[in-house]
Amino acid sequence: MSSAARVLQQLITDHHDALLTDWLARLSGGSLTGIEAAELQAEMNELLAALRHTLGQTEPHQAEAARQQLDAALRTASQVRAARGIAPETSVQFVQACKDALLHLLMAPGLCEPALRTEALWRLQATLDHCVMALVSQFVATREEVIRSQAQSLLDMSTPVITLWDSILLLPLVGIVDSVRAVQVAERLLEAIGHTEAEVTLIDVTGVPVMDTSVARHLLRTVAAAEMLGTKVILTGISPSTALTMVKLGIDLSAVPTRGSLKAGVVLALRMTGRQLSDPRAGA
Amino acid sequence: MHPQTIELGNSGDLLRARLAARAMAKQIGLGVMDQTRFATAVSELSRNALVYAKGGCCELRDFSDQVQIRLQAEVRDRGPGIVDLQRALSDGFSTSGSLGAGLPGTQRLVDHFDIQTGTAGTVVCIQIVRRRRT
Amino acid sequence: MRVPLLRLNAHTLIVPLHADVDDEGVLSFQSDLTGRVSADQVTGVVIDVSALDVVDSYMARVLNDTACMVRLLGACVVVCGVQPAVALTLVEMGRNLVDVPTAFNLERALVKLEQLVVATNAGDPRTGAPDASADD
Repeated sequence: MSSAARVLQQLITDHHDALLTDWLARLSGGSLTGIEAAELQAEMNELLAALRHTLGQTEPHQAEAARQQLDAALRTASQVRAARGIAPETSVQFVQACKDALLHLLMAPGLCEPALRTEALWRLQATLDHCVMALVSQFVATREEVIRSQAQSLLDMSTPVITLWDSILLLPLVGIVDSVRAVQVAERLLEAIGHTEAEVTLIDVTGVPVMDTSVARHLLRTVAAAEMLGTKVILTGISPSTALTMVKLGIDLSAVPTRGSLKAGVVLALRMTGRQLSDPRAGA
Repeated sequence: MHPQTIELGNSGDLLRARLAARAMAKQIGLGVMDQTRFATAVSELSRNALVYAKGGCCELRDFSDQVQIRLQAEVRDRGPGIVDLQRALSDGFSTSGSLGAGLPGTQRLVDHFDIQTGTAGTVVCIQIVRRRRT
Repeated sequence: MRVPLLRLNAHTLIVPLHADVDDEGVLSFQSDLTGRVSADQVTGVVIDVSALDVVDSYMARVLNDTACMVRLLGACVVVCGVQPAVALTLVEMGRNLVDVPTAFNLERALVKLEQLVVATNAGDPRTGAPDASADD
């Protein structure tokens, strides 16, 4: 173990409590919101222990192992803050306050020789820069995961397959249909058709703002697969502009019955399954 | 999961390859739809090896980690190789129905598709990749 | 293993395809089937694929070809039991079942078959549409 490493380790060991107090004092109001005092104390203890261990290792294998332990402590601190929507700067401030406290201690006169102090300073700086980097990367990764899982939930919620009536399924397509979504929708629909053995499946595209070749291709494929299972598909809700676009693009939906409105589609579906709507208010 | 190798020597082996592909896909957590895609792709490629190259082998490997499921199948043969690869990989060739090794179709089922072919044989490597749902 | 051809009644055959049909099995089943359709004056055939959890392009072609053969012999064909994952995989590959009526299960397939046979007596075996050239 190099002398600088030993100095740093000793520093932390000898002044452990004073360091924690100083560290806490340097954390301004913003850094303290969202974390309870006891939790914060535990974090600080863990981090300080990991730091002490890392700063004291000079042998490459052990240094690597120590750094992983440090990273784990940092990761937890970062994930906790990210999940609570606490700003990333807070995590950085958290670590920087620790660095300031350590620096303050290291710069105390008479602690050690200047040459050794310089080396120790380098070591401390390098390690804490690494900590900040690790924190920020982890924060970004965690937030991205949150966004991704929210996107997935949105996807799940927006592709319901509704059992409209006995033997009649309705899939109201709403929103942008990209390739990923198209596959999800198709899978869901086919599973539903398989389970219910619906005689007729209505696919309503009123809520699809843009119908281009790729969406139409996905739609056609979904229809083909649905019909392979044995259901009859009716397409409803094609808007005038969509109709125009589709013909211009040469998209051929001639094999699929269509109706302008969902209402008309439902009437057809009922007829196809041997039923009809009657209005009791209408005259005899 | 351990890698699995299936020797492709006769049409009974195609069934074994299909079953192994589905079993592995199921075991590593892929849904029914993806299991079917994977097993079908493996069936296509294995059949090609058998029909066009008189045999080969299929290796299934699991490259999954905590973040994603990644399943790979590599089908190799020591056949004469595909003479016109560009054509074999273009859609018009295989959708005619009876001709072609069905490569474009297989490609559409998977997320990664790599093919190396020459007079010493052909290797096709495919992967299905899915992010894990937390 | 040989594919069985089950006789439902005088004019209807049911063919349950199983998952481990190998290539020789396919060829013999096609020749058995065409032979039977012709010899027994079969008017309707149901091909049940509910046991197939994987249908690759070869099998899709077999199904399409078989349906074609049976129609050429003047009988109607309905395929039943396509699994959802199989249907999706087929369309994603670009290998649809071409011009073959389908049904969820055997029961519905038989109903559909009967409708087709009745309609065929007046016209096109594929769609049951009345033949333009048919009289009265």
